[in-house]
Amino acid sequence: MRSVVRVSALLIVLAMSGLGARATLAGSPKLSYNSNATIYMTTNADPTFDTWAPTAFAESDIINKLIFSGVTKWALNGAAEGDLATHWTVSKNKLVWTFYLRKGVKWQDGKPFTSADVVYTYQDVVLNKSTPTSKASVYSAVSKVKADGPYKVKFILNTPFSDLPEYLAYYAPVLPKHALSGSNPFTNTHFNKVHPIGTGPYIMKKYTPGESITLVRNPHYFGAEPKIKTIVFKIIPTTTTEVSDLLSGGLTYINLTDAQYLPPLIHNPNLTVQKNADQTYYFAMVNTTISPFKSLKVRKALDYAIDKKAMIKALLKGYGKVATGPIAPLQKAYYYSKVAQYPYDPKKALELLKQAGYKKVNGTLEKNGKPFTINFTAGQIRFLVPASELIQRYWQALGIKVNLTVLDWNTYISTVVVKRDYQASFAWWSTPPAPDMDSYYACSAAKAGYNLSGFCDPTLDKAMNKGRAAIKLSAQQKAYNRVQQLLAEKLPLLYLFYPDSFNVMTKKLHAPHAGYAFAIDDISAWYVTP
Amino acid sequence: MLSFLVRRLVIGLITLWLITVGIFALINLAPGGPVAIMNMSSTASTRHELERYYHLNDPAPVRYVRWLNSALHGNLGTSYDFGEPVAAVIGQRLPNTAILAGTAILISILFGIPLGILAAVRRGTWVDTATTAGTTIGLSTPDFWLGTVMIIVFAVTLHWLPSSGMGGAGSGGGGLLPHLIMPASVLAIVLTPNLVRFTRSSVLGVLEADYIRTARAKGVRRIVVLGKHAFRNALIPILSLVGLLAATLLGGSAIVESVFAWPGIGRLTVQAATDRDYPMIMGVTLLVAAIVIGINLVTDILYAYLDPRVHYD
Repeated sequence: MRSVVRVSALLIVLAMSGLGARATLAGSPKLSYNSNATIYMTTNADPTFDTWAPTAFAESDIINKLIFSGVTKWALNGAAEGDLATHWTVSKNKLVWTFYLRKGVKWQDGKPFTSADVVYTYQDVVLNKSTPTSKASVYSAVSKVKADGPYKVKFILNTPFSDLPEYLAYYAPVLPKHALSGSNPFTNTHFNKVHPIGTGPYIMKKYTPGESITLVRNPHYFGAEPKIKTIVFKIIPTTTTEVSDLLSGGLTYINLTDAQYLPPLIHNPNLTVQKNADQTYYFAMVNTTISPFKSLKVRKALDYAIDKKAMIKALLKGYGKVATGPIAPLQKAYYYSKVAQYPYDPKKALELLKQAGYKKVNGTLEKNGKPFTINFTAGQIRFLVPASELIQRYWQALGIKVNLTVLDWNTYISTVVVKRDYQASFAWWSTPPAPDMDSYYACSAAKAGYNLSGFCDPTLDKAMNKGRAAIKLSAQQKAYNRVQQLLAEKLPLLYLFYPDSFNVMTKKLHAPHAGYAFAIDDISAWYVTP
Repeated sequence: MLSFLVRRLVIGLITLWLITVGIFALINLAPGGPVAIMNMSSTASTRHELERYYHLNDPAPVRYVRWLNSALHGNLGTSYDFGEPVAAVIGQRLPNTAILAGTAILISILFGIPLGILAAVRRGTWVDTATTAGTTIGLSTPDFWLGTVMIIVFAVTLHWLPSSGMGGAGSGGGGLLPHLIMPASVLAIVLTPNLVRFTRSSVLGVLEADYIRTARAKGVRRIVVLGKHAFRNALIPILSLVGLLAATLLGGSAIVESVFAWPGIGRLTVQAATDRDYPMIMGVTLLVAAIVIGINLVTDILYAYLDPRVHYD
């Protein structure tokens, strides 16, 4: 009897210490991991499990990547690799992409996955105008999606789109037709809040509104089995609380985009801080459809007047790089730095403005007796307001009168993005790690799309179309080098900086050193040491 | 009393209706729109489709009448943000706010009223001065700052208390109580000075009344004078303050709920306003207005019980 008690006690101790659940990591025989581990991560608001729903944003995207699978997903370097598709081919005219799907994949309710699910997701939801989703705009090149047998699906395009596989990995989960067909997928509360069904590595076990989402390992996942048993996402609305929760032991992992919070984390012996490059760029923009911003000389002068390095130091604590265009260095295959650059040079800026017809009178720049005045609109989000104040100061130093108006983010979008009612502003774009930028710079996007500065240049359009039609890497590189040169010469936006982002985790958690979303797509590689 | 109740209920309902008209008008006058439409990743065509989807192209009066008709049938609509019925989301959050607000008010009453009485009774002494100084500090301390400092001290440095959430099984456990201590204390620290000052002046007012002097002159013991004569009468105005504080707190404390990631009504309201979640804004406003009107009514009824001089006809 005594020995039974002893053995039980020993088992309890082993279980509590996690030793009973140790497993060995493939490829590294000395390392073992806790296969019963629970990790605590964060999201900033209540998620919607259907990522395509119009109000599903960043708070839902990462969680949904774990519950669902896409046609493709991201490798750690940001390239597209197969997820539900094993491989793909493209037709000679580059307008038909065929994706070959995995066989034997099961939805989390046991039903088989087929091409009908992919067709349902893209044809019946994403491209369907009666289920409007803001994420649809990036698929404007896709005109139809149809099945070719149960394990083959064809994406038929209206224009070549060489980055389609990358965009199919861009928070683009495939939905189960059997669970959603016949209902409005966006208002199906049972699916979106209670019982989502995916094919991903984790199953949604419990959602406590306002508080947390608990995911557990999917034992029938088609990919490599995740080593972490449970992932809890706590809903924490502010970064300050996130950081303090990590420091007090309530969290295991956070993704940080604001370097101002780094100091207490970087010197903490219990934490690992990973620095990552991001496909994000911040820019100053002027409305190129109105005077004086139609003038390239004026745009160049305004660019030369901004001290990008000082902004990186002040706003990013030095964690960032001066931007040269919309393709960030993260895209090693496409980033091209041999383009026109505009380092801080107020003298050159003044010279250019003089060439554009301005002269200084009592410290103020004037043209035809009128002072050079810029109305600058700033949005109240991230560090947009302090950044806008810095730009205001740089431009004022030239002798320009800069009136700064601060708007709440929602009003900012309504004024600047929807109505295009602005002269100058400061914002950012985060895009998939793919070079395509048609929707941001094409003439067709100038009034209604993402081309916020209204810039239109047929030469640039032609160069971008070449990139979209190039399938081979070398052809793409050539095309996009030219696009980057043109953008730097013509300045539709004044490119300022690429920020770094940070993954901060406890020492026991081991996650791949890569951008947050890329690392999430490789969740099976994450593990917790005992 | 019954005719008073009926009259107050009717006035309350009319007030509620006027508030819904006002809020609906304000929502429509405010710039911006639902976050699904007002975000960087929507294009003009998706914006048009979303406007149609949310029926935002209909004239505002038509939408208001549709909302009112639906609300009168017990349906507050579907939240844009949550894709769930507004009443269901509010129903999830209200108990959380009630727990936080209830605890904070309880702490405030336990500390605020005795301290106020003490300061009044010991008027002019060091006790009174210290209390006044303490309340001044309490009143001038911003809650977001106090919350952050408490988190740094008790969660980050000492590891005594958790810093976020309610301690549900999913969010790391630990139970409700440890999670409740910090946010409830912050709210209580912000509330208590009001109660102390109000109690002090109320008790002082009563202590100077003739009947207290008479009671003392009759030789009634000081403690009895205070407990039986002074405090019971001083309690009446205090009650209305507690009612007011309760009404404010049940509307949710947006800042404290955000700092401590407490899933309550305050955080919900801020999110609804930021995201222009029109049905949710209407729902939350209706709820808060109903709570304020309800608590005022209850306070008035309690007045009649506590003060025999108060009669409602």
